[in-house]
Amino acid sequence: MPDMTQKNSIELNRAALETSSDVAISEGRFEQARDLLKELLEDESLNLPDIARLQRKMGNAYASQWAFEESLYSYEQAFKTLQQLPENNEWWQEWIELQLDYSFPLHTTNRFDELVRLIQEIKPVIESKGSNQQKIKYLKLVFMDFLRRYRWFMCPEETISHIRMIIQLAKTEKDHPTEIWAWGLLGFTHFWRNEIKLARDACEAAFELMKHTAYDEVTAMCNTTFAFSYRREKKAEQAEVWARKAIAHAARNNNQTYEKFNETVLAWVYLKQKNFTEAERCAISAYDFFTSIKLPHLPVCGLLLIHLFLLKNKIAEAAQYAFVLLHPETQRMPEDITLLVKEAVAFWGEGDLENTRQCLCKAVELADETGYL
Amino acid sequence: MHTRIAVVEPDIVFHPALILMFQYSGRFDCVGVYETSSALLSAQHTTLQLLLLNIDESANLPLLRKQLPNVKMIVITQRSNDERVLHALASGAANFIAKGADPAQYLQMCSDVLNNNIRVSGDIARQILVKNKNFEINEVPLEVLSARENEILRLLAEGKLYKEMARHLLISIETVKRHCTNIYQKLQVNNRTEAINKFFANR
Repeated sequence: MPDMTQKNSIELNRAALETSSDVAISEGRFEQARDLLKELLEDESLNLPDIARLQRKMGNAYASQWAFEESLYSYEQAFKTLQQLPENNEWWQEWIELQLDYSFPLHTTNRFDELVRLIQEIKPVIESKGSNQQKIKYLKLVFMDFLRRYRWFMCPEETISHIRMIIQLAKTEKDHPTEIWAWGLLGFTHFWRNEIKLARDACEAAFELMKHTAYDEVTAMCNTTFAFSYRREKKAEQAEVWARKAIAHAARNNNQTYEKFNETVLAWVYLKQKNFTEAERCAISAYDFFTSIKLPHLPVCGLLLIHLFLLKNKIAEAAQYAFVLLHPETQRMPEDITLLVKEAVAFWGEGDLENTRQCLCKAVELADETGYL
Repeated sequence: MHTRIAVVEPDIVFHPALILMFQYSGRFDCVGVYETSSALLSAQHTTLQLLLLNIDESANLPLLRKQLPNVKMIVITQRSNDERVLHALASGAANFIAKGADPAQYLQMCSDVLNNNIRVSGDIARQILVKNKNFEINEVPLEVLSARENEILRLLAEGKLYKEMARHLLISIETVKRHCTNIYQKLQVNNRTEAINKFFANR
């Protein structure tokens, strides 16, 4: 039996190892994190809540590396460990953490039925027993699921209320990075609900907070929302100014996704200037990048490409972009544009290129009128 | 594990869109899109599970079926009233899809065929019945089937879904599927359409 000093030293050693593994995960040294966790798990004097927590962290070390099968296995081990414990508050806290971490591989591997079930299952427990930080994590999960289900377009009011709840909780917790993130996402969500002023207001709130706490990802997001909002309003000059600002910022931070988003704005500006070569170069560069990482937001460049290929009278090529825009995993477009695109694809499938052209021309005209081009 | 799928489509402009369709689905691993059946066969895919085949290549179906006996095949056609669709179905294609269907319909069709959940449009079903006697079918008498299997075959011919049959016969969907697999084996067919053909040929 170790005396108190010995016991303290063992616990301190354990805590140091666990902290090191947390740091290793956050710094991307996953193999090292797992080695540390394995070493900790070999300690026979560990109690069950500690074992469950370490197994969960092992799952996180795999999930952060996108080794999802292994991560799910570790999470399941943690669930089994928890089930051996009598129910108490400590048990529930670990159970909540485990469920929240478990959601990440489900989301990333498109196991949405399981994810929706998990969201339902966890809700009452979070409401009654969750800490504010756990509630924030949970609301983020629900928010992201809303975006996915509505395919990032015209999300319902509930989506807005969830992100506002995150802002409130983050304020209470003085969790500035989360608050900034949530304002940025609120701007994005309002924009895709066609609420331009609210989108800009949310981004301004994020910019205000970022005067004190830098957050490059959200700066890129908000610059992009501004550029897109002027594109939607068909104000080419302002759109270009914001897009170039966003590209410069994103390039400094090596954030290719936002660079490409804003290249689509430049493509639209070039199109308006009738510089079709540059418009096509920018739109194709963005499209190729988005498709290479399976980004869903294809309409922001796909409709431009349809327009550009119609101008060259390359109907079959234009129809290919139309076909991909109808994919159920890509961002939705306004219903009237979608119907025209669908009709065009049906005509193309029958080999009727004249009607394909007519439908696509109507779709592009409508998109141009409503600011969706 | 993703389903391994290939496409034979002479229209090369369509190729990138087909590849993206499968990539974005997150469920299918598109191992190749080829202009011709011979190009596909040259690639010697050994673990292919599903093939989408343009109707213009459907004359090669018997060869493809021989070379790729475990691969389920869907025919892509410009028009459902194309005479070749019936021949393709009779030659072992599991189903067909209009080329201008949207990606959601393509993906649903692929999943359905993989799960043996095959539905044929009323139009095609009628054509199958009308044309049925023109097809050469190696007759296997329906007597080889048990009473229950005969009943299930009749329900298949009526266009019932697995779940509808399960409800009607008060058995589980799994049991229905098992009976269907037995029926296909006994009748030496590969899918619902071929089984229905045999059913009507024997009436």
